[in-house]
Amino acid sequence: MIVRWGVASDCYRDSVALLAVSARLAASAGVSRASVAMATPANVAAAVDAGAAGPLDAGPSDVLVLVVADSEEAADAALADGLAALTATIDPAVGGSGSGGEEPATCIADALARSPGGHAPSVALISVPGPFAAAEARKALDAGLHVMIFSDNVPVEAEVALKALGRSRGLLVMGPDCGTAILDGTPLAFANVVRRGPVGLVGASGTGLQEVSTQLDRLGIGVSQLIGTGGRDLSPAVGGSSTLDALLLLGADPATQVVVVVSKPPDAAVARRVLEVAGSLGKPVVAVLLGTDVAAVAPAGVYGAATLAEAARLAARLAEAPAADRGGFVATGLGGPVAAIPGGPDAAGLAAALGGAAVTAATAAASAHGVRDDRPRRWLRGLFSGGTLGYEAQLVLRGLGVTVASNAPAPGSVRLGAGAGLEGHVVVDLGADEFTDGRPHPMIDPATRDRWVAEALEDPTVAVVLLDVVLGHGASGDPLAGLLPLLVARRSGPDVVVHVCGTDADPVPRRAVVDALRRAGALVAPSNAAAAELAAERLMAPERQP
Amino acid sequence: MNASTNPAMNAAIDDSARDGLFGPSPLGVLNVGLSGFAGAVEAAGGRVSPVAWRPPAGADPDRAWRLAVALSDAEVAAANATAVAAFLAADPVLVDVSAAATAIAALGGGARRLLHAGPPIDYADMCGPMQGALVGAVLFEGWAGDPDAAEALLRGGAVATEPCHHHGAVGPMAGVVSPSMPMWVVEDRSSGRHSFSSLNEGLGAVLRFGANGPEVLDRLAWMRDELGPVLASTLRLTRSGEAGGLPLRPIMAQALHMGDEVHNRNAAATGLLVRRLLPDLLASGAPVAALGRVATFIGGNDHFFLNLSMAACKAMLRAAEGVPHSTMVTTMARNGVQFGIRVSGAGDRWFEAPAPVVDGLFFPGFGPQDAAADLGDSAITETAGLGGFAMAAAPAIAQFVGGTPADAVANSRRMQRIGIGRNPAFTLPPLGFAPTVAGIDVRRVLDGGVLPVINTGIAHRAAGVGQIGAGITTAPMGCFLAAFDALFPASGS
Repeated sequence: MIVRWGVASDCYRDSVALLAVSARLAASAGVSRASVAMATPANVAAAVDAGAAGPLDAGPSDVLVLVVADSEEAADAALADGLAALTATIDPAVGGSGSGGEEPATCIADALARSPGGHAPSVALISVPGPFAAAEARKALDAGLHVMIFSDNVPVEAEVALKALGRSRGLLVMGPDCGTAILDGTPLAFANVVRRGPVGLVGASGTGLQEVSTQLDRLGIGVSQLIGTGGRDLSPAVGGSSTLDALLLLGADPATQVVVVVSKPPDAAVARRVLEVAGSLGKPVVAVLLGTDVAAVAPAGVYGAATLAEAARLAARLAEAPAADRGGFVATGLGGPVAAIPGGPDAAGLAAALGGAAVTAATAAASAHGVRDDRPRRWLRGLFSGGTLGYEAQLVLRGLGVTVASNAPAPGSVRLGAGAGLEGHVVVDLGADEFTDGRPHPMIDPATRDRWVAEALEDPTVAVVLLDVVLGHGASGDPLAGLLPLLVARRSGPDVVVHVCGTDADPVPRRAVVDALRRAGALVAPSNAAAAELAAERLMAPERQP
Repeated sequence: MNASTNPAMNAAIDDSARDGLFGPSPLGVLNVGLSGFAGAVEAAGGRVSPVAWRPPAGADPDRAWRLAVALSDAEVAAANATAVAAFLAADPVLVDVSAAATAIAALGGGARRLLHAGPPIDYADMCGPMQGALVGAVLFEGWAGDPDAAEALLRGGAVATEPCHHHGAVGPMAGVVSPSMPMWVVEDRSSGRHSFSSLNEGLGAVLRFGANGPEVLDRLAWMRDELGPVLASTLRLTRSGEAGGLPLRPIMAQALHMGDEVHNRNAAATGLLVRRLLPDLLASGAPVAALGRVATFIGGNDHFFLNLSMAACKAMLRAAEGVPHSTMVTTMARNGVQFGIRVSGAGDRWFEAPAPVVDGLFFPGFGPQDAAADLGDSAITETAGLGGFAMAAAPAIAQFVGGTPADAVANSRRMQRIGIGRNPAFTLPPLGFAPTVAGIDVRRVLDGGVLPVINTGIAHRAAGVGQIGAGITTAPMGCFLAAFDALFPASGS
């Protein structure tokens, strides 16, 4: 193997641009490995480990290109190609020869100086590398902008300080690690194309918010605002700062008639505070705090939902009901099985998928008390790109008596040991840090997910493969490119149950994805919770051939 | 909880009731980072303000955070406003030409001391042109009889060397000043303070490029014995006039409208200077033959005004020095080895980085391998918002330094991004008469990664060969990082 490396000096490129060059080199003839990354100390060390010899004189503002190939010619060609691709664009801080137009702004102050008066932006979307994100957020807050921090790896102390600063100035700080928002109808980062309407969403869970908003859309109900607050907002350290501020904003927003608050399990004290504020808004609030029995602690006016889909249905009914009737609602069936909505858009699809049978509590109870399943094909593999979707699936499965192991375990699940073989029922969050270090998130590039699917389909002990496909802005433009061939090629093997989180108005329409999956033999459920139930059902199905 | 705990949030709600909840409609989004996020915003009708982000502050996260805090520091903003106001209020007026020994205390009293360009540096570490110029100055002063003896005095410390900038003076290229050289004396009318520069020797074999042969020393002697005294007599008359001297800002402002940027192009300013001095020159009582030699010398040197431009810029920037907390750059200077800056709020400290090699056009027969690193105090013009900062005004020079008029305009526009204020006294016609930059802000250099651009001549690395080209360079980031760290230290350091 021939190892070649080179440096493009003072040439910052964002992670998406670097991955694009990396992928291009990796696809070159004779190249077995290519890495194109900013020359941080960690990346330089990794390059040395990979066999890059000689002094690597590069710093974090330089790009390091590393190529491993089977011949010197291939390695040299790929290296030259990579360096050329990086330097093809003009450095905006230096400018280009004879470029007549305005040079791009390289900092927030420059960009704001070019947007005077009524054209000034009011929201900053920050997606720079984590160690630099807090500084950019601070600059944006100082300029009077609301801030959404997409970046992760931001220290929690910085998050606390930024949120305190934002609150003191009447500015909302969404994130860090905030993947989604729809503000005044404008999607930021990962968001689906949903209609506008009376339901305001707030939550510390990206795909959870996407699931609720798309479920609402399919019920014909639109969204006024969708406000992500960042994965850590409901932790004790942050204290729900942004969630509370967002609830007050929605409470005062005349366009918002019903509020939905979504979260993975929050800190108990923070959850009480959030529900208390939710109860004070003077409008109905649906709370889905996954794994928390909201009904036990919720004040009047706050309705608990056990699943994301249920939260959407509840919010839809509240939004459609005359205000006078809203008091009559009672939170339904917490923790119990979720019935298909009669007349709901996908009820027919679900019924068809279930072969005419509905999921019943009895089925679940029977399995929970354990008819021992000793058939060779007996395990479930859940392979999720959406963290909250995988989490919800675990809770639904647990409620149906299926205990799983996971790298991101929900209450009642077992922690998946590192390096241990996959034995038993497993739900993997493929968007977790251990899978996204130096690789794109599976929502952007499903290649990692597809490799896991291929493995699961080959595994003779796997009975059901459970997947999510998340659509929308920011997500892969061809989410089935790797998956469909795997499904079409097989003659037998595990059942494949899929939930497609998206709308028909998304850049990749949900309907097209669903149709393609069904043609390939997958069972497509109408919601994430329904997919988990269907997976549990297929796991128990007596007619399933070993 | 509801209304009382967060009045600011409620105020925001009230404000936004006029339009969207998050601002005027359509929503304006500042996109900092992944450019791919812009498409979805625009598809939904939103407006995107893109930032082509790069890691700021030398790609150091801790410094980046300190920078973010410093950028909104009210004390810094107030200090910078004070420094810029002093810079704008300074009124440099040419009042005299006198011997350096008279004008500059440190060179008086028979002291064997020489001044040089840039930050402090030991003789042994200097570049070739600066060593050659110092040897020439020792010979010129008669402190040694031959170059070897002169060099021995310099190496042994028997002749001391100090930066011009430590004595209110500036000199182009090697910037060497010796006690008997005639100096321009520029008075800042707002403070009464005097600043100084040497007189320009012209092109060819000249001391400032390290030449020190008989031709060079003979010219220096003539400048000392005839040019200096004639100009002194002339300025005695000028001083007795209504203005008490020759105000320099109006000449520089007018030259900016005549194709000069008063660093690398001084053709218009030199003409304006001669026109203003002519009556007093003729009335000075100097013999006609002497007047003829003076006229021929000045008339043959398109750069004659450069040293006055530098002294005027120095006078304006000295007014901005020493304002606590100010991040305004008051000096940029190079000694051919190190590039150094000084900053108002950090007193007399130099912040240095290796001087860059200048990228430019070389005269036939020369190339980058022949070039000395960036050299001279003339970057004082850029520090004052002229030179490379005002390049839009001088399209002719753009070609000389290897660019196009469009590049010149782009450079001037880019430099406006790192300015603290604007100087209405100096305007740039191609930018719609936009005012030039008043004060380079260290913070803004770190934030956007835009480095001050400098128009400069290129010296041969060997002493005495002279100018071998001209080009554009930038001040190195290391100077600004070091200055920032001094003003805003890391916690625990």
